[in-house]
Amino acid sequence: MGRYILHRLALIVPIILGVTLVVFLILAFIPGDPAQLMLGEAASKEAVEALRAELGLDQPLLIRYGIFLKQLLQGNLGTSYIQRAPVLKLIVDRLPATLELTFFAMLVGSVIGVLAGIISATKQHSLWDYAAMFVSILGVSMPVFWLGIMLILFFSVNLGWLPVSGRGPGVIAALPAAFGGDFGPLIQGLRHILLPSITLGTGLAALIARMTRSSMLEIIRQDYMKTAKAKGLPGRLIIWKHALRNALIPVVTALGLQFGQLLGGAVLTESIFAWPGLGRLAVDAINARDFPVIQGVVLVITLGVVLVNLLVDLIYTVIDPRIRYS
Amino acid sequence: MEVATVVEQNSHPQALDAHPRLKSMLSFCRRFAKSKSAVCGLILVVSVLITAIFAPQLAPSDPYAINLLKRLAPPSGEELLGRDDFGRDILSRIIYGSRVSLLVGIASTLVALTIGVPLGLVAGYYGGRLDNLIMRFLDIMMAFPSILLALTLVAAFGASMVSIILAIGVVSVPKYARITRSSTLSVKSMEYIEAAKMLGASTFRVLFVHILPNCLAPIIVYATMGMASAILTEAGLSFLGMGAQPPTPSWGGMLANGREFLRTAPHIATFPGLAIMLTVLGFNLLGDGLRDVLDPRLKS
Repeated sequence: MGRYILHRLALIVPIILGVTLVVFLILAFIPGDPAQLMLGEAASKEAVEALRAELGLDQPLLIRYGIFLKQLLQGNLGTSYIQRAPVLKLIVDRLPATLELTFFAMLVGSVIGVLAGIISATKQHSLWDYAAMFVSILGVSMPVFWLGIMLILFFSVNLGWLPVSGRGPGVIAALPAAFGGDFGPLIQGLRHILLPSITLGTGLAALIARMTRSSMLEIIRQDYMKTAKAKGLPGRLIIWKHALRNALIPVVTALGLQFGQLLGGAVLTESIFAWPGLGRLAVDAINARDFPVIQGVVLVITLGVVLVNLLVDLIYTVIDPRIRYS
Repeated sequence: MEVATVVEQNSHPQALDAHPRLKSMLSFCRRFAKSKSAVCGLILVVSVLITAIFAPQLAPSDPYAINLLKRLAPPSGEELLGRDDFGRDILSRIIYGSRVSLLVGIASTLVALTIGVPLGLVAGYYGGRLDNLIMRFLDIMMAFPSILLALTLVAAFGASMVSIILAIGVVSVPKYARITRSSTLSVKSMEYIEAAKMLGASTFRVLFVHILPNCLAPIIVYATMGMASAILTEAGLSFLGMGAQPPTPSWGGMLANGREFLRTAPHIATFPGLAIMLTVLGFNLLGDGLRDVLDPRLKS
């Protein structure tokens, strides 16, 4: 197991390098001079030249990539053109909001998805099955941002039940107070996160439902399921213990692989709900042509995806004892 | 079902024996007509195609015509879907908006196919180091969340139609390459490929005349669903202001605009979203159906 982890870690090094190279190249070939952008149109030619030298922009591409990598290793992602703050700080400030949103979206997606999938599979060809599968294909086809707007329209504008936008105090930040007996901030936080996490989690729920269904259907037909039934085990136990554990293996892979799409979807969801996370930071940076911030956010999110995929591979060994790595 | 019976009655066994291709076409049509989702999807997709092609004939009025007197007018008998903040007819704008969505969906899928399929063929056929190199490169591309990479590319190279199509196309390359590669791997060891090589067929001929046609089923299925996701990505880009630029009507852009009037005129944001959903649903259903019809093994 230890050797397997080391092997997998060694494999992601070239991928991480490749990701940094792609991001570096996109930003390097952007029309326009970053030094000029940073100093504004009015800056003198000398000042621009001086800054170009300081940033290493006058160096050949390969050396610039080297400088970029070195700074990256030192945790230096550059400075925002607009906010004049270190990019890393901007990202660290926004990261908790995005992680919180993604976590809740995954929760919504996997709970609804797995439950719908089980119901569909155990009651195949029933009305429940058809309804769940129709809703799930609808869910995959729905634009995230439209769903978000419709939810706001219904629950916030028409019914006035939930806040239109913003994060409130944040769920994680409200936890200590809740442990101390003050549930106000926690409820506030949950009220704020409900619509964004449903918005972001619906597509995932749809996908997970379809995967769980087909995976369960396959498992239910296996011989050991017949054996379990023949032994006289209660149906519920067979489904929940014997079938589900095996059926969930491909679902966990899908969850891991969807993490990247979820973070991508967070870009849209965050801009609908004015959620102060990485996605909004990226969109604001893109609109302002603030390239160091775009670069930083894309890098951090993509590296996050790579690490999550690694984690999923490792989780396999835990949920599927048949897989043993030597 | 009805279509299937008609086809059966019309088919003449002797004629069919002489035309194996015609026979397989007919059998495909029969299975296609039996798949409810394929037929529903096809109807939706064809309706959107017709809407896009005949937009000038179908639109009740000029999608650019501003009428401030009817600003934010709700849906009525006269204007079925109401008017936007410039008093422009929303139905006409949705009809014209189908052009942007379909153009980007189809063109970006073609871009992805043109790059991805040869990459997958070469990787699968040659194997070894070249395969490894291509696959690792694709792994890197796959690590980027697609909408984020597309956004970055469009931000970097300007929000023109061409850069949107290229960005969405490039982002989707890895999926097509992977699918083509895995089919190539299973096809390349077939005996007829050996036979073709023995007969002196060039590598190019083996790849594109003998292997590719036998990998087409999963590629077609994926391309159909890929168009759905390309349309969603385009709508997302437009929604964030990085798509077709105003006043060109695009569904994502109309939706973004409608957000500001949620309280006073919710219809502005509602209908473009429905249009996106129905179109994407059409491609997804068609892809689902085609998968069942073309290659039952792919059924996940």
